[in-house]
Amino acid sequence: MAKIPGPGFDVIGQLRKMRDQGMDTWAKAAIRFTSSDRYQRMTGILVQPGLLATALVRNSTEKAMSDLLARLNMPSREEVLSLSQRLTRIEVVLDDLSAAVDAFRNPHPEAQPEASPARASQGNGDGMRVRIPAAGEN
Amino acid sequence: MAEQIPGIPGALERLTAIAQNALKIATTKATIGSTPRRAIWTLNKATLYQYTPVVPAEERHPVPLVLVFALMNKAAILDLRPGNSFVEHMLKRGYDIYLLDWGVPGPEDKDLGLEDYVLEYLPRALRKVKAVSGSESFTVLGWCIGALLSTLYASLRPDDGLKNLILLTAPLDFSNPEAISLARMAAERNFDVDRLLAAYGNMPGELLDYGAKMLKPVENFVGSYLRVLDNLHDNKIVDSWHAMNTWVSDGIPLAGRTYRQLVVELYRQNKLMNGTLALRGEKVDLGRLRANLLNVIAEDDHITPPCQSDGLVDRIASTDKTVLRVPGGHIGIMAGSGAVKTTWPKIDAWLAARSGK
Repeated sequence: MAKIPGPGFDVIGQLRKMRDQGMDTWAKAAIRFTSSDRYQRMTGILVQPGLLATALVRNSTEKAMSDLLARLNMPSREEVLSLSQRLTRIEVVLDDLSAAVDAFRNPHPEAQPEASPARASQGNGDGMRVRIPAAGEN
Repeated sequence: MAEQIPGIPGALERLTAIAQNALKIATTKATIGSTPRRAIWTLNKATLYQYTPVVPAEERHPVPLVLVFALMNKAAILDLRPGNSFVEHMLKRGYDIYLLDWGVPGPEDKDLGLEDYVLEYLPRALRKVKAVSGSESFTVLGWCIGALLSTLYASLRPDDGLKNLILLTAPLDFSNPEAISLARMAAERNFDVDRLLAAYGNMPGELLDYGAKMLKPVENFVGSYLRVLDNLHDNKIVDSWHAMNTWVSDGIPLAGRTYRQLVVELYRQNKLMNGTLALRGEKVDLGRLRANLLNVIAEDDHITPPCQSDGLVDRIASTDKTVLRVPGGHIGIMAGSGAVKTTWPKIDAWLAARSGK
């Protein structure tokens, strides 16, 4: 569409070629710059005040909200989050029960529920803090 | 009038296509991840899907294939769009495919760590795969951080039925930080991870996306858009770009504790390769990894350079181990337009020979 009739000189094509060559040079220079230690250190320094301010605002807002919600006799954010984590723990127990029921109802000779998830959850309670209750516990 | 002048109808069609495509990419998201599937298991935000097989049961490989993608992007990249979908490709070749989608962590998940993903979610999901498929053994294909999680699992639970392990662009070895742009970015002198997590709780998806894009800023912020502008009249190119852009711009946050472990224990301290990484007190010993291994390395990967995956084969106990070097970048080797002719058939050929009973 952009070709000029005649000797086959494509103006747009030539402009694009020049642009792409310029872009290549620009891209290589930009990669050298953003990979440099100097750029990364500078970025680190520049974002510090923003992160500090965000953390301060976040903490003070959360504290103010907690006080307000407590006065209104409503659950705080922490309480809702903790409820969610407790629900996940219940899900984990239900998952084991479901696996046991699966194995009971549909006993593939080669597909028994293995013990590894429960075994894994006997750890120190970090992270998801999931612990499978032992038989008779609860 | 237009019909009387040659060239005008074509020009009008072209202009209409340009206008329609420009409107489409500016105002809509592409439909990605549309291969039929059903959810068969959930835990917290994670969901395990089983894709609807397209090959009769008697012609399918008996060993199921479980896909484990990274934590910070959606797994739809494995099923980008019809005709350019790894899932679709492998379904047609007779695999029973499952996808573990980690979901989007919320503020309540900031304490989730690598140990939770590796020792709780993954074993439970794989237990469900075994129950549903009726197969005691299975294949895990992990990509990027998903490959890291799969490697940790394979080393910690070698007796749980893992037959084949396929790793794509696995970030495992951080011993050469000068060659790893992200390692330089994450260096202690440049980056205060605790301050960031104090501000946000989880690592926001936008910041992860920005960090990755800054590794090639001109290509990601300018070049990508110029390419689509040059080809706005071409529906095929626009649809492909639109699908990829939808996926790229749909990043998800990374659980705070996991992010901290990645930065401190792996990027800075290289604990996995040093043999000092422990999850819930269990030492991760790569020497216990016995599954058949296919280690796929992208030769032009700027996010996980080849040096991060190269060293694994010398550390593991597997007797059947293959390294496959593919030209292309971190995402391009699996989702690029050439993947269907290069990476996918090679994965299929390797896996088909190892997916019998």
